Amino acid sequence: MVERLEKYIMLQPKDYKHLLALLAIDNGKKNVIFAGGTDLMVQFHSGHLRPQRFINIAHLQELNQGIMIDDQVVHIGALTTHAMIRNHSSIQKNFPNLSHAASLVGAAAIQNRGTIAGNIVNASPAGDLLPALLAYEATLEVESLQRGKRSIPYPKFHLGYKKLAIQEDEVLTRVSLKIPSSDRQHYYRKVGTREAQSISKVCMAATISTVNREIQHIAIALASVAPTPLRLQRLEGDLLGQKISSSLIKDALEAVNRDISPIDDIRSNQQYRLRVTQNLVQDFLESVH
Amino acid sequence: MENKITIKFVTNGDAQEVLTWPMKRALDVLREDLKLTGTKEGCGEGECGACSILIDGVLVNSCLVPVLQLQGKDITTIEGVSALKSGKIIQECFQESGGTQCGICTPGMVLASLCFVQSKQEPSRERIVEALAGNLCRCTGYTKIITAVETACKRVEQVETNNG
Repeated sequence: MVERLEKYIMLQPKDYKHLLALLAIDNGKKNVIFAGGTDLMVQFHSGHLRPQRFINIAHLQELNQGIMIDDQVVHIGALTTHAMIRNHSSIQKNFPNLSHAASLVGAAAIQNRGTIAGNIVNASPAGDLLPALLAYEATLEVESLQRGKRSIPYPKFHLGYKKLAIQEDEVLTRVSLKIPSSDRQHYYRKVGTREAQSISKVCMAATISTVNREIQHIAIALASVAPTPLRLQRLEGDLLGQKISSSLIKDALEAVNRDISPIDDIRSNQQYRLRVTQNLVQDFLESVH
Repeated sequence: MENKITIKFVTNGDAQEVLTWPMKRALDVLREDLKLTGTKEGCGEGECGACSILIDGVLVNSCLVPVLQLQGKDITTIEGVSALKSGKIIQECFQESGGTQCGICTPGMVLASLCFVQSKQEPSRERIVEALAGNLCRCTGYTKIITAVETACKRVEQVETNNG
């Protein structure tokens, strides 16, 4: 039971403009944006969420425009839920790693409430959508009253553990993804204790395209092996232009050891995470057709 | 009385008006303010599904919803399920299959099953298991719950074919 429930204020902005105005007060300090609440309410229940000012945005239509296709770019509104993402034919077709990721978040009732913006801004190192968004090179749009709209390339968003490039008076409005070429192959795998309701021990999203087994494009992104989700850019550089072979794969596994330093924590340990990441990279490269 | 607000919503067709704090959990408002104690608390963390309700027909964990977000919504709790034709069929199938023992997971299981049946997906074991993956049961071992849902899907389809 939460003590002193009366100390927890939740504001209901009249509309989107009102939201921006509220965020601008105190330059956003002490404001916590509240959407689906599937992470915040768990913290609340366990006593890890101190009384402060929450701003409910769940009802704001400007942030809930859904999934829109504009030529070769797909825009996903901030309040788009995991359920909407997994069921959307455009996402399934063009961004299968993202629809797959969304289908593995929690379980049905969580997918109906959790949002893409919440997954990003909550910035768990284990966030299920995050490696998929990294591999697809997403762009985030944020807005504030003072500075208007600006774009943040998603690779530049996570500065450290729960340290973000978004300012305290800004709100994440949408996520944009450029549709990849149809020859791209996609790979996503979440490794955890259960088929549902689990936080990953290792999670990988990757894309690749080849011509005669020679790698033309490659992206490998991981969750749960670092304080933030990350791309293995050095390994990608090693693999680009190379022909896939068993010796290349062997080198790639050594590079994984070189490039990541996972930790021991409540869910897993360094050795297991390293080994499983290597297994996934191997599985991925061997699955390329 | 500080910071209390009035929230208006509908539960099982009944209009409700509650004066309370905006971050009181929907689960607690249902059970304490409205005396709708059919919805249970199992974990309080959105992991077990015992607190499942429908908000505008969508399955959610009521332990994770602050009551402010119920404003203007149409809620279905277990108390309202027997009034729905598929709901009644699901409840009968749970009884017949032995899909309920202590009963604490049952309200949540029935609501998750209702969503699955209404989705008109093919009632394969795999799909039922995924639809109910957010609902934990410590008694039954799940087999008879899955059978209950399979049977309910067939029975609902039969009823609709007969009426159609």
